[in-house]
Amino acid sequence: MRIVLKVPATTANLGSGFDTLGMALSLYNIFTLKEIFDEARFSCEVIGEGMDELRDSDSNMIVKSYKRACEEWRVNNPKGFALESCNAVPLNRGLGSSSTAVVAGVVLANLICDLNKPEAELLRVMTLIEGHPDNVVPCFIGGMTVSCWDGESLRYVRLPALPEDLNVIAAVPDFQVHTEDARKILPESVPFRDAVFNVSHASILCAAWAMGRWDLLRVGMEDRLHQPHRAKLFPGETGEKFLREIANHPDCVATAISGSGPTMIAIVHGKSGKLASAMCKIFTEGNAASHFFVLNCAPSGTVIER
Amino acid sequence: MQNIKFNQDCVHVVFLGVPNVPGIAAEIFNGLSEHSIEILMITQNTMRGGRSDLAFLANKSQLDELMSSCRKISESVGAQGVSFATEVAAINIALANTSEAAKILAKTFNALANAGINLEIINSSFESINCIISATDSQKALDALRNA
Repeated sequence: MRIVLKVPATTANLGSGFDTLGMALSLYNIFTLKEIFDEARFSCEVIGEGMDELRDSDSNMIVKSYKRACEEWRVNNPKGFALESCNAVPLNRGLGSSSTAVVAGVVLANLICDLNKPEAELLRVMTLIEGHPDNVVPCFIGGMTVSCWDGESLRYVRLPALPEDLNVIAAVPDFQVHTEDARKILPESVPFRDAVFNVSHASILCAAWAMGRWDLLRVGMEDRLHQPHRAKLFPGETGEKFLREIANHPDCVATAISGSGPTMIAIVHGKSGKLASAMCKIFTEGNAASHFFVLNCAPSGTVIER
Repeated sequence: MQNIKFNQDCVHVVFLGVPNVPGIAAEIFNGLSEHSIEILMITQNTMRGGRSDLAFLANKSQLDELMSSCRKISESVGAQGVSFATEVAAINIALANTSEAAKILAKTFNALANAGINLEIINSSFESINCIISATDSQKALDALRNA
């Protein structure tokens, strides 16, 4: 059985939609199942991003997710496999690299064990493994998604994809912000007025996205829950500068920290070379090298070729 | 060292995970040619898994055209994505004659290594050595090479 999975990067939160909103992006990891073993042994060859970090198949997130899904579905004596990962999604940069692995592991468990689980069940197990739904849901079903997870049940809605004339610039620096640090820096409680601010802005964002009111994205993506805190994890004043200066750039429709960072995204309309250069210039001022991607909202999610 | 040229008005573009089949490079550069993109340098690295990264250097003045054309080309050739780096510098060191090439290559790489500078791309011909480095290292590289 030869299976190829083309799994997209994702950007989560989109400012106000902390742990809730996410969008699939046209940058892909490609996982190729080369061989299935009767016994539970695994080998993973990693090419591209994470070649050095992801060599050990015992700690490989695809293998872990496959095993966890098999446990969840009570599969006796799950088979093993040999996999080739051709990775283009930057590792630990806030573009959902680990979610591509979780999605791949769960999809492989469903296919190799011939379980034929429905989409909602696959997503439930993916969310259970990841701990939050905002990356895995758009990663699997594509487009822009709104998700709600209470630790057991998952509910999600897929919104229309961004129109073709709106693109996403993702500026990726060469430093990492560890997810643990990004979670630790968040306060345990927030002022009531900030909670109200985010409820209203996230609601406007979803309504504007659903109705094609792209002029409201800038306001809708404003956030007071996590970005002001996480911006402090960037070197110098890079994070604050991004949120202040890029948001007000004439070519920028809206901007946010992607996931827990350090990648910054800007939704742009039309020619955006100056804006992309300005984003990378800010990283250079913080003494960090960087590069950027120009991406579409990927409408297809994970594509399975057999 | 002398005859060192620095160019910070360039963009380093990488088509990531391009399928390793005949005709892909032709499709990429035909597409860029249609948009009159001026290519300064091309490199292709060897990857396993039937895919490779194809990179080139272009002028920053054409960034808008590059972003628009490369995104479409990336989809059409089935690449995994395309990345752009604008905060880079290209170093060009002229070689007066081929007999001194090995000596100058060694001197260049030693000087940059001693300054702790990472090379993104190395390319050489009979006439010159070209290196791409991060813009954050530009001044350090210039000082290191001039003092070498």
